[in-house]
Amino acid sequence: MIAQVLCSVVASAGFAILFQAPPRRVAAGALAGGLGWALYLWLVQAGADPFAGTFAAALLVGLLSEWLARLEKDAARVFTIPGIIPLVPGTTVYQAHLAALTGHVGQAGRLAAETVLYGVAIAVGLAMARWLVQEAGAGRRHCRS
Amino acid sequence: MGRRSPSTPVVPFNNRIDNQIALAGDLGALILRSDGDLRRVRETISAALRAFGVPGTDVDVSPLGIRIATGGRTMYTRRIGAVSRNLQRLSAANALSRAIAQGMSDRDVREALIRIEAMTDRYPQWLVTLAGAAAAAGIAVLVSGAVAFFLPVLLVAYVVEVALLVLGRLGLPRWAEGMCAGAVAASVALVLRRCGLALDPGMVVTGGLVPLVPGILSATVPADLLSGAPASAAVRAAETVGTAAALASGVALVLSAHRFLGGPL
Repeated sequence: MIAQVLCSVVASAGFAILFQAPPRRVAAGALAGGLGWALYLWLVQAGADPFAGTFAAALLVGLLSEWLARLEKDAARVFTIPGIIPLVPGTTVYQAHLAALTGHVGQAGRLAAETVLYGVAIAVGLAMARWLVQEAGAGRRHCRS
Repeated sequence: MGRRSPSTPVVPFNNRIDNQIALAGDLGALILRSDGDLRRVRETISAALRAFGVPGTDVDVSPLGIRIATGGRTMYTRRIGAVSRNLQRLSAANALSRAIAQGMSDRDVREALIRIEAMTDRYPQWLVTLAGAAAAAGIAVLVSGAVAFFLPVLLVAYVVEVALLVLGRLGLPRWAEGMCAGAVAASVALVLRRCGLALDPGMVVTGGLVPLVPGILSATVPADLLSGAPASAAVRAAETVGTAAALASGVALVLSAHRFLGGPL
């Protein structure tokens, strides 16, 4: 598990550099990626469905990114993109196309469906994180007024 | 930095509003071209227009472009060409958006936009290439669950990244670049297997192509659908399918040729 989490940190940091993230943001993005993957692994090893694990990890990455964005006064996407990298179904997209091109239509369909489901889990996790942070902010403003 | 003052407009009144709409639109275009999300682009343009004091505007953002209208009349349209994910520009645009909200002058906003557009890459090419390869190797370990894939995938991804740098100079269309990258990855993986260094060529090729596969785009499609932007989802889905199909075609071509020549798969 430690090797996997380290690899997720390397992957997130690598993509942050690939996407020209400012140096101070690379470490934060890598941390978000490592924590997200650690949660995903922990949940899946505890018997959770991989899609539920992806949703929970995306929610964590989203919350961390929103928090870091407020802390550093930067766009949340600067942290979300590297942080979400270990969870995105990039390899599945490619494998689905390769399966289709090599005549394995059934496998291609299964992989394409998996891609969509993982994508939905990530999108819902990130959207929920944004909504929770916005609601928490609105609640605080309401309490002050 | 100069402060905006209602008594000292930078340009005459009507031109000043046109100029401010153009500034807000250009800021949005900068964020959109750096792969900022649509909701964020719309919010940034609207916030900038509010800060400038431009009333009653209607902002329409899609992955293809930006339109700003006021009183039913289109005041600004900008088509967005190729998107290049650049978090440095995104970060700088975010800082500029905050400065506009605090009253930055129109002239300073224009200068800042020019500065951000002219930003050069922060990291040297060798580091970016190495980072891409290391990221690919990391993802291969996550997908396969085996640390043994790290080094072979690092090597394949590095060769693919270098090949892409060379191909980039030839000015090939994106689909051709993708096909070539897939073909290079498959060729290197087969050579590694022949040398006894690749455990599973399929996984090595998949890992090696990780920096090129549109993973984030595939996760953006459902996000666009959920936020009620089906046109945007369709555009991104088409881009995802096109890129992945080009990569897979290159790989399939090399694997077919290898099989045709009697090589083991």
